[in-house]
Amino acid sequence: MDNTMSKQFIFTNPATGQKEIVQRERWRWVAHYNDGALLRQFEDDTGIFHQFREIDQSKVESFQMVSDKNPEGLNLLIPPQGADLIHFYRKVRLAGTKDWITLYFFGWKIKDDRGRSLQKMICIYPDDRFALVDEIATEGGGKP
Amino acid sequence: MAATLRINEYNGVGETETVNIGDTDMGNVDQANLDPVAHPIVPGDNSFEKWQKIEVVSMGGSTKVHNFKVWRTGALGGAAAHKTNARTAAYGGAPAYAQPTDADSAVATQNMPSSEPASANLGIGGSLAGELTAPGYSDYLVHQLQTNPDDLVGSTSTLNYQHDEVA
Repeated sequence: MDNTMSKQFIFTNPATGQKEIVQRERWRWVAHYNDGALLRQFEDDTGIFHQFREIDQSKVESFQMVSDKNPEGLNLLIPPQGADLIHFYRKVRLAGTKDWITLYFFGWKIKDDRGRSLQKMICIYPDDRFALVDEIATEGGGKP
Repeated sequence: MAATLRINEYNGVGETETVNIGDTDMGNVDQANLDPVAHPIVPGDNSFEKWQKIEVVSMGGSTKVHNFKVWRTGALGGAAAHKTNARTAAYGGAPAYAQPTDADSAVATQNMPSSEPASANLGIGGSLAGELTAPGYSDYLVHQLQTNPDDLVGSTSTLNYQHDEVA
């Protein structure tokens, strides 16, 4: 087992100003900006955790999901006209167990010039397989 | 790790809370983590209702927990019915606690879905569109097995609990 998986990160809750400990996720996002800068959900060198809402979506060129086993991961290009990013965890628990199984969802959502919504979303399963999924997003808005 | 959630059950007239239940076995007694072998449902009878909530214990850096869904996988014995208050339309809001009963439930009146529902079917703050941005609870999930005299004893199925979380 990779011992970095248990690494703890510091997060300052903007609502309370309190510092909180956040456990590193198995799959993490990396936002690639159009000026070459990166924003990583978990910054290994500083131990800082970033929330999804900290991403400057107006500058995102691609949105990558990486893991220790898959450091290249999946890198999703964002439409050049911009889109609303989607990222959330879906957690499932079966009665009789006490563990929540995590699925990682990410993608983007946009509205075309006729007002129709277009959405691309990928789900990463617990065995690291992934699939394009088609469902009504509960996250992200969609730029007109 | 993100948010920490657990499933709690409430029993008795006093709404006694058992946190982080290990199972949701149904039986002929109002008890959390009950032994279904010691407390079987006689065919033709109902189980006692289960009154449960999903609790967000800590946010763990996440900003929102929402989109609660519950459903059952696996077949029931014979023509037994699994009733619940969880539903995707005409949601009745957050039910006020009442001591669990083995009479026909007045709260759990719709069939439990047997596959993942398309949208939330358990609310937060009385609304399916509700969300938790701090530690708190779902509405009560109430469910009950209602059997017939010819139903098979000992059927096993699994209840699934699901939510979405934005970190």
